[in-house]
Amino acid sequence: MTKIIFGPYHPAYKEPIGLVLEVEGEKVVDAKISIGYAHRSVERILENSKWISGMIVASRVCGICSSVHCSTYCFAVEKMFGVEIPERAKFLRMIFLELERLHSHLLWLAFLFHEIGFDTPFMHILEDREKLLQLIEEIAGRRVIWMVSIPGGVRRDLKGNHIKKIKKLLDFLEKRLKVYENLIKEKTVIVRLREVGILNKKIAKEFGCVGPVARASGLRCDIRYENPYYFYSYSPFNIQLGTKGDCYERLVVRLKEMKNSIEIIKWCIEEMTPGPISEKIHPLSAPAEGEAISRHEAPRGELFYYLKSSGGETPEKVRIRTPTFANIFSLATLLKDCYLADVPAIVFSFDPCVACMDRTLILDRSKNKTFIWDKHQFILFSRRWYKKNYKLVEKERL
Amino acid sequence: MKKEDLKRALRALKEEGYRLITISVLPREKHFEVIYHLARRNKVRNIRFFLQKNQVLPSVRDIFPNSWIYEWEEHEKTGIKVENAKRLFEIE
Repeated sequence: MTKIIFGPYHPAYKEPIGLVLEVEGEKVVDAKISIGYAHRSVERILENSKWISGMIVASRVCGICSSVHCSTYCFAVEKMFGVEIPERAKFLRMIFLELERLHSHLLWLAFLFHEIGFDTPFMHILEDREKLLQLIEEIAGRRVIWMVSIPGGVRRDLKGNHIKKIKKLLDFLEKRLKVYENLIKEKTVIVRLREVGILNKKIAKEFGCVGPVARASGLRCDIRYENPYYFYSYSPFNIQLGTKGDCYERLVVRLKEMKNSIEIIKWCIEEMTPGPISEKIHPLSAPAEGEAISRHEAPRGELFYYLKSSGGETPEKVRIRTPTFANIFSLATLLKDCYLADVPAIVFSFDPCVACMDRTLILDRSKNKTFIWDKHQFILFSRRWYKKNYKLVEKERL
Repeated sequence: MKKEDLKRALRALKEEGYRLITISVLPREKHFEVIYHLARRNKVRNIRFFLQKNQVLPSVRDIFPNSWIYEWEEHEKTGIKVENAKRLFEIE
């Protein structure tokens, strides 16, 4: 019996996890999961922050989906204060949330191709994402942690030729998405991802999975569909569902979501009317005693914020449930009985921010030896294994 | 609410189609206020359970298998004792 231990390394990353894989030959027999190595007590920091300035902390929970954290926190604070944000602010928040989904999914797509050995599309997709990030920088003032939402509205409006630039970029991305759609029909991509890491609907429901992972299994789990916020109920939003719940379905669902995000942004731009972008809330004001729940659909799934006020200047209790935390539980079950070479693809198809994949420690107890692999070596192992065993899995998956 | 009633309430909600989002624990002076956040479509239900500081919180893993991850997180954050608390796996 060989034990392979992933992580946890690099606590600077937001969610380093540890995975211990027990391997017999090429197959993973058992997988165990370990998390909590980079707990930064964000909730406690928020409990010591003023109601309004808390959004600065909330934006820093995640570097990739900072906008949705900021919006969800602001949404809860607005509920506490009983403030209705202006229409234009709602449209602007929707635009920024969908732009964030686009860049997050593009990043995921690029790295998925990298994991399965397609480095050329990896480079091309990151180049496309770079154009999107540069546009976001121009609109929001920052590439990451935009903090566009503030309690009461948004802090930046679209000015001058921003709309023209967004439309131009969306048209460009639409064309690129067609290229990616053809790319995933490639035989090798199908062999690497189809019938791999199958999460059926029953297990996804039982384990409380959210986001594209749950939707790929056919679970209607999207807050934009379940509890539409802002103007999602009027927008051309369509819930994207899969059936099989394998890695390939997760890829298809995310591609469809990107397409839908482009439609939603275009619709917002068309429907948006001039007007104020924020309602004023005094920075030191405190809401009355009570509680508020806010749920938004982050790129990785449902993001949940619970705020409780005892009438003070700071929240009495803050609870955040991020989508990766809800999904990571089912990952351990998926890794059982899969090929060792499929582990990077399965783990990455969940889109966790797993810094632990950076280095791999291999313990061969029978030989009493320890091997240390880095991420690159693990990917190389995966690629070489597929070169040797391609025909073995080709029949099963094509 | 008694421990048995908590489980009965959660089981009934699960049968109605509710899923567990997360668990929040508010430490008070003499007791803990435990809140189970459940959701079905656009409905969110908060089930409150009050527990004395020397008492053990019943685990609801048999009803919602994903609850252990939240139970353990709250145990680590607030010190609440959880029945059959399962440590997230430790690397040897």
